[in-house]
Amino acid sequence: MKRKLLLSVLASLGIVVGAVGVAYAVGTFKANQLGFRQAGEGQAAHITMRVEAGMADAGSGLIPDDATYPQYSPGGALSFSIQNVSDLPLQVTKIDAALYTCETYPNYKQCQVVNSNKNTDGTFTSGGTGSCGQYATLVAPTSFKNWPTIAPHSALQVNGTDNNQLGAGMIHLANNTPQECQGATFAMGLYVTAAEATHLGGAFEP
Amino acid sequence: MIPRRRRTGQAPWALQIGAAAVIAATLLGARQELAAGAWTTTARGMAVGQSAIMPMGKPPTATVLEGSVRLDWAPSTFATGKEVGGYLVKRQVLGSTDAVQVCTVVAPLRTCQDSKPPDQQVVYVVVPSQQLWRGPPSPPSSPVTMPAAPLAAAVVVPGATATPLPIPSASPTPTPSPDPTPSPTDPPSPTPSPS
Repeated sequence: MKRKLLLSVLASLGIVVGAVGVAYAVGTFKANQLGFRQAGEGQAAHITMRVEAGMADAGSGLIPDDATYPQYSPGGALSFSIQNVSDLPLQVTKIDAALYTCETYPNYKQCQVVNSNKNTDGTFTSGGTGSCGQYATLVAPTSFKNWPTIAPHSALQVNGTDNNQLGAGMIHLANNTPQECQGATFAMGLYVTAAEATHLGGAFEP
Repeated sequence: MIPRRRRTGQAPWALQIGAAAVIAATLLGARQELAAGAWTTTARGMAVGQSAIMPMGKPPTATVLEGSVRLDWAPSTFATGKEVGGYLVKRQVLGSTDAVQVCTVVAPLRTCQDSKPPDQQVVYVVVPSQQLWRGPPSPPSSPVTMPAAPLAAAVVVPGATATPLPIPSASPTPTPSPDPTPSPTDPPSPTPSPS
């Protein structure tokens, strides 16, 4: 009888713990999607940030990748800012390229959102439809160890010129980029994911 | 007897369910973000970059050697200070607009040796290169005229530092030279890039 009771208690405990775990995971998932953080006093703290384009810099050294050793080509710097408009410190954990479905049926594929102000014949164009954009690629950082925590209501400027060279090497040009694309400006869509840094005690790798 | 057996058989099931639930909860709690109490947010935005502009070539210094002309020039660098990937050296007959490519040099080499040019005054220009990109050509070198030579070796050697050089002639300056013994004038062929 005692054993039966013990088993029943154990099973119930296990189910309760499992349910709590699932509920926690679901709650976290929703928070991640919405950018909200549960806070004390029954209120929700809004975790939001803005990503805005910076100033283009022709001095970033963006040149076509080497045809033989593309892995050793440094690429150029992307310029943007991440504004933390919440009351909590944030740590960037991931950057992804914004994608769209390109090509035609049945060869659909995912392409990066890249705009350019210049065509491959050397002419300039407005609206970002320049054909030089097809040669540019966003290469996201794989580690964010050296990315500083963004204090509440402050901004992190990323342009490859700081001591950590944040943003350097994030844009590459294909080795067959036409020479008429010299001096072209590129605008690339990206998703920046950040986590609350309060309990992290520093950066971590995702 | 049979019911007792059923009861004893249920015990491992209950234990397994409980253990599985505990393990699942533990694994959920072990996720890095959850363990850290971190909540994430994602924002979309734009970032901009701008491609570089090729620098201009630096005028070469031509040195007349026995049967050839050696050219040396200073590096062309981007705004970042990085040297371009290579150089093209072109020869032009003075007064003509036609240019013949005589060398393809991969940086950091910045020297080229041209075989005996035609018996005309010629100038050389250096064009910086980076893959398909080309920079503005350098100002032309000083005009060069090869002195008469009985045996002219038709060699074009990029990276001529490794080539044993013949004894330089006395005059590197332009010297109009009537050539009494006409020699075959093979146009030098461009040397393929070592890359």
